[in-house]
Amino acid sequence: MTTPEINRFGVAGTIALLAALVLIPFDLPQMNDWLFRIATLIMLAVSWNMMASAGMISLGHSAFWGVGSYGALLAINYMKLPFFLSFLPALVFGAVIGMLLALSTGRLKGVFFAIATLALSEGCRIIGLMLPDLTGGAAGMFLRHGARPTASVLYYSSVVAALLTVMVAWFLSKTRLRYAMRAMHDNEDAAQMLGINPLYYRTLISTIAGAMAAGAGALNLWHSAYLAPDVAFSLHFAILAQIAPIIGGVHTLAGPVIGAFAIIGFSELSRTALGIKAGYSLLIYGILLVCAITFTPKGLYRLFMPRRNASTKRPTRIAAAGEKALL
Amino acid sequence: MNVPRIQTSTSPLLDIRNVHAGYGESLVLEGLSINVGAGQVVCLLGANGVGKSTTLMAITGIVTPNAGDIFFDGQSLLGIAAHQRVELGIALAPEGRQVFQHCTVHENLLLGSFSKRGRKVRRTKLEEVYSMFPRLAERRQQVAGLMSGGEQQMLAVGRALMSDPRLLMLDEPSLGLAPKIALQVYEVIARIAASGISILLVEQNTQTALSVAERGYVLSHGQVALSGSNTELMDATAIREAFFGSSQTSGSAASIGAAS
Repeated sequence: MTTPEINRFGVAGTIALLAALVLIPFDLPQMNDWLFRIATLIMLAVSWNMMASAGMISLGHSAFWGVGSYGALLAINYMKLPFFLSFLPALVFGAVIGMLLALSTGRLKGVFFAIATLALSEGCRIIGLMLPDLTGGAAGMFLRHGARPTASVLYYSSVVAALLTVMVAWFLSKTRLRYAMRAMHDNEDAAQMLGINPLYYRTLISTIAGAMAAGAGALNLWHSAYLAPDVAFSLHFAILAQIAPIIGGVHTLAGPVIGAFAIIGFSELSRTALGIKAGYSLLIYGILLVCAITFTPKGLYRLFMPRRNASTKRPTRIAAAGEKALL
Repeated sequence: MNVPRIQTSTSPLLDIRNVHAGYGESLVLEGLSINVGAGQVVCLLGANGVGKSTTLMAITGIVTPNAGDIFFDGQSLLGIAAHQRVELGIALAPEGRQVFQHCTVHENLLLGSFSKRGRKVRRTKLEEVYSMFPRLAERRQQVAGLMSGGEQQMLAVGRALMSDPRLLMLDEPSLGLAPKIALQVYEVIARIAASGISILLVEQNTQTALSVAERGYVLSHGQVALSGSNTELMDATAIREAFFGSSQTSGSAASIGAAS
């Protein structure tokens, strides 16, 4: 099944994973860093997954991430905005870029849309390089000295932000939007013939997803305290944004969350276990990712799910929930 | 035969006037003019590639005509987006297996009433469709992609009905179905027609289509090659000429009878 599924197990699992983020003590060395990375990756992955579920495959999620980072950085350095207020420009920037992306790509689909997102990210990077007065150019720019909050404020904020992101995705999956997305993902022409306005829903989803990823980017800026166009718009985040939901289970609610844990887990496991020999850790990390995709093609999510069979009661409940959403 | 004649004498429900349309450079429809009166069942016949499906795409709004105009209930459809045409009461049951494969039967039907127009009458339409297709009621929770071709075709028709259409368009409903199943589909089409919904039926299966349609058009090279009542079109030679061409009918469009 490649459809978004809402079920008690998925929701419970998501809440448990997020609770783990809150409860595990942050003062352990390394732990806080891992959890921060997991939280921001969850936001990025949920955002990517939302767009993918509506048939928009993004190869340029770093554009949202980077624009969010820059939105926050410029607001902090030039307008002296404090920590919490700095997210406002970041979210607005991300939402605007997401909206412009959907409006400008119109009815581009599949690969063509994907290439447009790749170009968007690259375009942002080049604009960043061409405006050295504003962004510091290739040399980059540091966060205003003394602006950083304490580590625990930053970490707890990231967990709350990840929670909010998942909650937004969960809430949207309860509405008619989910069905519009599903129909558009299957066949956009057919969806249109049912009275679904694809441009409206694409724009809505892309705007929300853009803001989500930009929020993660802004958090990361507070963490790293330094930004350059090559860092903000690097392919690294664009790829992580897709690997996490794919490993976890694409088009599902819990998938991106599971995937984010798995990716950071794999990466840290291989690094700490084999860190002495440079290169080996990356090789093992790569092998783990390949194994995950090979053996659970529908995502690690499936491992936690009871196997579905056609005659169980569950589909009835899904349909009942669906009916409510459409009404 | 009396009822449709009275209604066509006023303005028809769907009126396509001299439409030219196609995909990019290639023109498929070259001056097509057809109409469907309120409550009528009209069929569109023709071989592969003469523009039958393109006509439907132009009516739904997926394809925009380069020239000509399409009127629905006296109002021009040009400039009205595809998703808004559903609100006017235009529905299409697309060719082949274009139901949402990963959704259940029930979800497919609910999606059919996504429009404002459909939402208002969802409950009654659901009951109507389930009683019309008992097979779909049995398979309510079945994933659509796992059903037989005939069942998927019934689902496509049912989904189109869910939007509470005034004009129902059916694109080759018998395509790829066993004769017995095709017959079942056509029995339902006859019942829908009896309920007063106008139907534009696209078919290659001439005899079956003419069994329910009161009149029809035969298309050739994106134009109407022949039009007439069902009894007139049953005449095999005329159809054969339109389908395969002949020296006598080349050039001008032939019309037998005064059905339009």
